[in-house]
Amino acid sequence: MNFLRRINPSPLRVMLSAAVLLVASRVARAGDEPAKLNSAQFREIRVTPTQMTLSGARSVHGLRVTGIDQDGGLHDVTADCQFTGVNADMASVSADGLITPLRNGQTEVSVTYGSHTAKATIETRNLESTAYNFRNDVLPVLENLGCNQMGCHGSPKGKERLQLSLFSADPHQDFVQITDAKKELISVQKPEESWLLLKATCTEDHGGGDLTAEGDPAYNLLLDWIRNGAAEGQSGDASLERIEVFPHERTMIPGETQRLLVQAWFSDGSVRDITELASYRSSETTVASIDKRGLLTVGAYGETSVLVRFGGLVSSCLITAAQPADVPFPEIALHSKIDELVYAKLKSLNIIPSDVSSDEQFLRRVYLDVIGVLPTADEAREFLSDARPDKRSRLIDSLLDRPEFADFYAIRWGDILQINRDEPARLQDKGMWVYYRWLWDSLDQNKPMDQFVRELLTARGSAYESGPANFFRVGEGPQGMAEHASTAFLGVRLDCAHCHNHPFEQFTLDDNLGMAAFFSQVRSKRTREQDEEIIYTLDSGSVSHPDTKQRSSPMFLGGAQIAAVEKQAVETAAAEKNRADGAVAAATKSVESATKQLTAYQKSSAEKIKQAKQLASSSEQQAIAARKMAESAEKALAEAQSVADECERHCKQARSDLAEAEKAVVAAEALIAVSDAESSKAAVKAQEEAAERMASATAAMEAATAELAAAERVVKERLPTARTASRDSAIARQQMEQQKSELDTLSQRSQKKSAELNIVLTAASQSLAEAKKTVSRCDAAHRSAVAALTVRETTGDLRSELVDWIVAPDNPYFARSMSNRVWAWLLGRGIVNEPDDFRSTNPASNPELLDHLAASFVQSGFDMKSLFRSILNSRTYQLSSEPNEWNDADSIHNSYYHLKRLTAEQLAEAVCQVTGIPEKYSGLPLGTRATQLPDVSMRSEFLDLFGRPKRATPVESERTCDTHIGQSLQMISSDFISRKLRDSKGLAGQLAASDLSPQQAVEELYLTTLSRFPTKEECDLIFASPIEPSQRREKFEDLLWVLMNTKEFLFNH
Amino acid sequence: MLHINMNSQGRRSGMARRDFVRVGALSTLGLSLPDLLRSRASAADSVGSGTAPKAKSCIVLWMSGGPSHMDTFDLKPEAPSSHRGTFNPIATNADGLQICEHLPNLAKQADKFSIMRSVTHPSPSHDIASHIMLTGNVPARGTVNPSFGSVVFRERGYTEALPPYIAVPNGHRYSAAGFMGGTYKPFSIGSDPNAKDFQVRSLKLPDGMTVDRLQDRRRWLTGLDTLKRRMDGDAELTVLDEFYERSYDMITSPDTSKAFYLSQ
Repeated sequence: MNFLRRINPSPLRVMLSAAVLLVASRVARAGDEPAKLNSAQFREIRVTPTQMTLSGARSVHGLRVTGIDQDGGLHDVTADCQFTGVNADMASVSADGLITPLRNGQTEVSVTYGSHTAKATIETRNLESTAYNFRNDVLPVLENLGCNQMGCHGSPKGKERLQLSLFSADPHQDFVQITDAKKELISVQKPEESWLLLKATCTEDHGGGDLTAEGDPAYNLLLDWIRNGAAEGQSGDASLERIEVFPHERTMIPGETQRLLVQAWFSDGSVRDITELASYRSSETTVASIDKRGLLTVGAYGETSVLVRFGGLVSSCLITAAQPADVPFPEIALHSKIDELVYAKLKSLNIIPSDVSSDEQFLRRVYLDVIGVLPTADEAREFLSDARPDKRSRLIDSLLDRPEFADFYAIRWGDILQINRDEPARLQDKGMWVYYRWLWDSLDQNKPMDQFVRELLTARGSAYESGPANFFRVGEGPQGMAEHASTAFLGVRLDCAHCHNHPFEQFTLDDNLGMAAFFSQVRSKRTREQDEEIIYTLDSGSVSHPDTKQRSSPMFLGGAQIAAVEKQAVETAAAEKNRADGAVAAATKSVESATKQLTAYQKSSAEKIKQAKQLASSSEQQAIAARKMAESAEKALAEAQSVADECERHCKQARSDLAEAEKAVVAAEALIAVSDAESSKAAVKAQEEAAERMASATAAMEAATAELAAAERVVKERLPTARTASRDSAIARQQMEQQKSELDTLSQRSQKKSAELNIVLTAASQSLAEAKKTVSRCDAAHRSAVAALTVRETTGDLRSELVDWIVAPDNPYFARSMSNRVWAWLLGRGIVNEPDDFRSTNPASNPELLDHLAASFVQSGFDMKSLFRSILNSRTYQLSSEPNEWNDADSIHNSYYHLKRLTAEQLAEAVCQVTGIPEKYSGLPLGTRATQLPDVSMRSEFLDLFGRPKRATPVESERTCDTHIGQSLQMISSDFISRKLRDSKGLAGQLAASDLSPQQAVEELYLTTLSRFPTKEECDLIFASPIEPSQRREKFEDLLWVLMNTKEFLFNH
Repeated sequence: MLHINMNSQGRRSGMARRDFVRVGALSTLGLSLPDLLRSRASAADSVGSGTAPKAKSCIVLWMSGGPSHMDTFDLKPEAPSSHRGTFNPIATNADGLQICEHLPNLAKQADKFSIMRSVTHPSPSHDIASHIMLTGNVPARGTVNPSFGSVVFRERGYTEALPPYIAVPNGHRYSAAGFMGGTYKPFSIGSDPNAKDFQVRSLKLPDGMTVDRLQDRRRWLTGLDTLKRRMDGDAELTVLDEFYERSYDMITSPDTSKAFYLSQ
């Protein structure tokens, strides 16, 4: 059938749907079928499958045709199509698309729908083979009929003549049982009269009822199997590998149908249509129902997951039936990512969320949800009159900081941890108290949950001293402990797999035993003190499979073997060690090269310096020699000069002598001239002497002149030499100085470079040392990993390994399970619901939201209060509890706040609080609140009636909010209520005795009980007849009784 | 369905047979009331509605540690002495039926009762055996099955002012509703009808209360119970209202006193 998916909302239709809403709250109504589309309204059609390989005589296979409408919507149009075999002698096709191959080979089937066409290719082989495989073909059918359930032939002793293994655990044994000649269940001669069939159809009286009928696909298959010899099959037969359902997901509208197609895939690549043999279950049957033949019909808006199973294999199909978008989805101001994800989901389903709650609603709600008690009248007044825009988040912060938070959540966790002094946990007073105090402190300190889990699951010591050690007194044996821990911290219930595999759940007995092995070392021993137990661990321990008696190795939930983890650790350690070795080699190389470089440099630079030094010293010598030469040349010059000077002086003397001699000659001549003989003789003699003197003076002069000339010649000769020598000396000195400075530079540079090279060398040596250290560490790690692998099963506390795995950031369960629990506590329903029932067949209603919460929780360091805070501050949490016309059918997507009846403790405490009269719990001081009770052993009829659990299981649903007649009787007329109501010290008595006006007193009553002021209508009703002073006590008692019995009081809304 | 829980400690001493017979017989007095609970249990509709059971009421005497079958109604006279008790069988006024020599008065009225000697269970454990006998199921881990009293409650619903399933004085732990939910728990009397100060929990109006004053309170409550009006159609609230109505009926009905108070 095809339906028009989107119809323009005409006024008539809106009116019609509004009218329908009143009676059926948007559940689709019979006869309100959407108009059918014709082929022209489709864009195209698609056939599924387009290609298939069939094998064997029973290769009948169906086709599904999907029409795609103008908006992209998908619809099952199979029933309206024409099917034609391209080659009529290869395969025949029925009107509804069922293909029956006639010959081996390949052929095609064409599909026509109006002007649209499509094709499917079929390959057939082994058509002649009528062989059956019991395990693949027959047993799944028996399983789907329910034959091998616990209550039927799967019970340990079977039923009547037939005993089957539970949920097909042992196919061969099942075959032996069914075909056992002595049991006469099978008659190959008269197959129709086989006892198996007569019983299954209840032709012969059958305790299990009639499971199938003649002509049913299951019946036909069993009959055909018997006709063909009721064989078990060959060991080489193709095995059943997986099943697949078409479609995997589909958006539909109420009234629409879809015939599913279920295919079984075999190891040889062949495929079989098992649509008529598979079994189906819809998680929300109101949203979509499904019949035995796989025809799915949508009934109401919402989402459902259809689980399909066959032969222990599962596949599923998600059906979304979105409401028609009668009005545009509103733009909503979101508070956080949480809201974004919630509203994205609501928008996809066209569910319009309710408005935000009033301050009064929010106030009462957040008190009850965070600290478990009502706000007092004063607290209510204060909050309601607070005008600050952020008063809600301020209130959330202040409540999370109050000690009552720990009180209230110690109850929740006490349920999960099953804390009780009496049966069933039997922790005794001391054990209970120390456990409770540890829990309370942990919650009050907001201990990170990873630490909480570690302290708990690795606890040891006296259960009277160590609170968490009591954990190991609750679960029975390793399996019990593992089941308890899994439920509490992974949200996974393993107890179903305690004894056997569940028919289609992922968790098996092996998972249970694998987890149990982590607790196999835990033991307890008694002490002299009464009932005291010491929890300790042995070096070894083991759990064995109940049937095979094989020892189970520790295995994390989901399949990682601890040995595999250990192997991985060894491999990682080895790789790290290799890396470290490599680093050492590299570091050694670099040290070597640095050393070499340094040495080479030092050598070459020393050589250079030496040369330079030599050069410098030789030039110094040269300079000295040059200077000497210059000096001697100077000296020679000076000597020559002085000789010349002497000569000059001689010359001067000679000249002066000559002049005197000349003078003497002249004088003598003169004298001669004038002189007598005698005197002349003397004069002549004088003249002669003077002439002689003159001659000698002339000679001397001549000699002196010659000497002078010679000396001057010598000076002249010596002057250039001296000059040259002096220049040479200057040059030599300059050269010497230059070379000295070059030497200085060179040695400075050499020093610097050496220092640099030294640094390089030091660094290289350091990294070598580091690398060597790393190697030794890696070596140790590798050795210990190897040792751990070797002695894994014989030493060490395996529980720590388990905790490491649980609190690892990528653990798929822990953070999700914790976030989901808090979500469920605050919003009344888990994203996975029940909150402690995670499994593949119980999908999350909003996986993206759960992922986000979990990721934030991990990021916060497993901070519980921060998780609370983010949810409490979301708009989603703060929505009104009043549904609107678009969301009142929603029960899972948080489009409004769901009503929660007060828990037993909340209600008992609320009664005490509003009446003003506390309850006395035995062994505890008067004034101890019900929300402060450490366990569930205090006798209290009231608490029992309102669903206080016995704490017999860690499952949260043990605490119930189911309604029961005992509860209404209790609220109406019990002693518990009436004593408190009538007490003169109670609220009614005090108000009556006060000087408050009746109006003020009523206001006080309303604020105390309902955390709000009375409305005008309520006041009108209450004061319909005036309250006389004499009636005050009675009327206030009556009104208090009435308010305590309103739903508004009994529920958190 | 009336479930009477007795044990060998003699704490219920003096609970004479006539007393509980009297309580049980009340179930036949009833009036029919619309069965809202049945609509909740939609899955049970097809089973519950069509076939009305013949029995009007049923009494279960759960006598933990009481006299054994072979000392009372199943003496096995043919069995070897190792499998027999010390008492001898006597004939009754029903053909072929023998019971214990110490039950002469019952022997005279054997035409009025049937004995099912075939009922048995395979478990040697008291706990498991009790679960099997009270729920019809071998206990599975983590699951407590509903007792058959609870199943009758759910299938048949209320037929009169008194709850369909009553336990005296309190139910056995396996006589509760198990996974069906607390709604189908037995209504527990809570005390011994023979006790001097016997009172059925909350059925008697507290001191100082009168029926008239209760009716006044009811009227006010009807007017002031506004949440219900805002949540019209909420199943949980509707069921609670239903139980309030039943409670008022029980408190004010004269049948209640007749049923529970032996003096009347």
